[in-house]
Amino acid sequence: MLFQIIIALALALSLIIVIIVLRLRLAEYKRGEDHFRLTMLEQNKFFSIVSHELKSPLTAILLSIQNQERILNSIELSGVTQNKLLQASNVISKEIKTFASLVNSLVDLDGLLDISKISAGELYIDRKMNNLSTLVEDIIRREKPQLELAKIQLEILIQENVLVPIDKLRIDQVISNLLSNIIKYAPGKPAKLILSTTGDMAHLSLYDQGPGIPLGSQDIIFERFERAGTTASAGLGLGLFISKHIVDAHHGRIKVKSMPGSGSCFTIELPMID
Amino acid sequence: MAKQHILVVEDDLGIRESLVEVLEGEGFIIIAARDGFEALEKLKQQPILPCWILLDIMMPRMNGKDCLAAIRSNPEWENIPITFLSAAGRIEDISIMHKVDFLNKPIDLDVLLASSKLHCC
Repeated sequence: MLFQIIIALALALSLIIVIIVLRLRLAEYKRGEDHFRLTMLEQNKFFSIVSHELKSPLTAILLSIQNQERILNSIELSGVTQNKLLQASNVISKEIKTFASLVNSLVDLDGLLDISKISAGELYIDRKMNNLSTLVEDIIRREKPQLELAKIQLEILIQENVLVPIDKLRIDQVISNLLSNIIKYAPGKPAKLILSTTGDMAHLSLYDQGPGIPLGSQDIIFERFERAGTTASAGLGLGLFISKHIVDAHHGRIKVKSMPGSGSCFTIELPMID
Repeated sequence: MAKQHILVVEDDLGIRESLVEVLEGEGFIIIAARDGFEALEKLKQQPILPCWILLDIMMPRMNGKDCLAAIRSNPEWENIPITFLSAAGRIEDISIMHKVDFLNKPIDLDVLLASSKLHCC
């Protein structure tokens, strides 16, 4: 009996020690996690300042050099001089654009911020009933100059007054990301946007006739740092990963259908009932 | 046809001067301001309203968001198209609310000119 009591006491003591050790380990882990988050925030703040400071001179240089090219193209100079000056301007302009792309991708602050929020499970979604039709129209109006420059004829079929509980800013981010991908990867080709509903679901589909996504990449395109891989373009490949998490947080779905060489169709499905 | 006016609000001298040079070259009359306060002052003095306002976001004294709110609260100015010049690359709540476009820095000349045609022609 005494032996059994000693064994029971020893077991209870061991259990208490194990719990204390686990709690201490957990506290240590949490301290480390907090420290990591703080470091991420400090880094993001630093990136923000670096980004702003680098982009100001870049903007002035890029605008000036592109303007110089335009002036050179419009004035009469001896053929050789004009060609040499244009050649020099083109090299500077191209290099500045490359540098600007690098700055944009290296200091993709918002992307990194979103990634750290997703990793920490803190991507906050504020869903309210909104008119998705109006939001889509506003985004298209905003992107019009870029679409025109990329020579993309966008056919639009929008069902009116599609009311959906969404975080307007976040869904704007998702649709803008899909449109900017078309501008980047499928310039000069027609594209189509359809907003419709079936039952309790809203469907937004964007079709392009770009290079398409290789079959092996279609399953992983929504993963972090993945890109279609057919065309060189700036960016860290965060856009679709973040978009998927935003749509998931709305209890919706984002999917892609693509035929390499023929184009892609990205569809977002969002529930219309909260 | 009378020349149209564009208001450029930007604290960085290099960007401000290059925007003025490019847009003047396109035949516009440019009103330049260094911050939100100066922009509002210049708008008050303008007999002809600008066809477009290019507005930086991060500026001393009065930033772009406060300036936008002040412009939109004036019935005479509420319909002037406004484009934010953004270094952050992300649309914000206030932009959606006031239907404001944004151009990402570094700004591409062709996108700038396409936007000017969209708003001023």
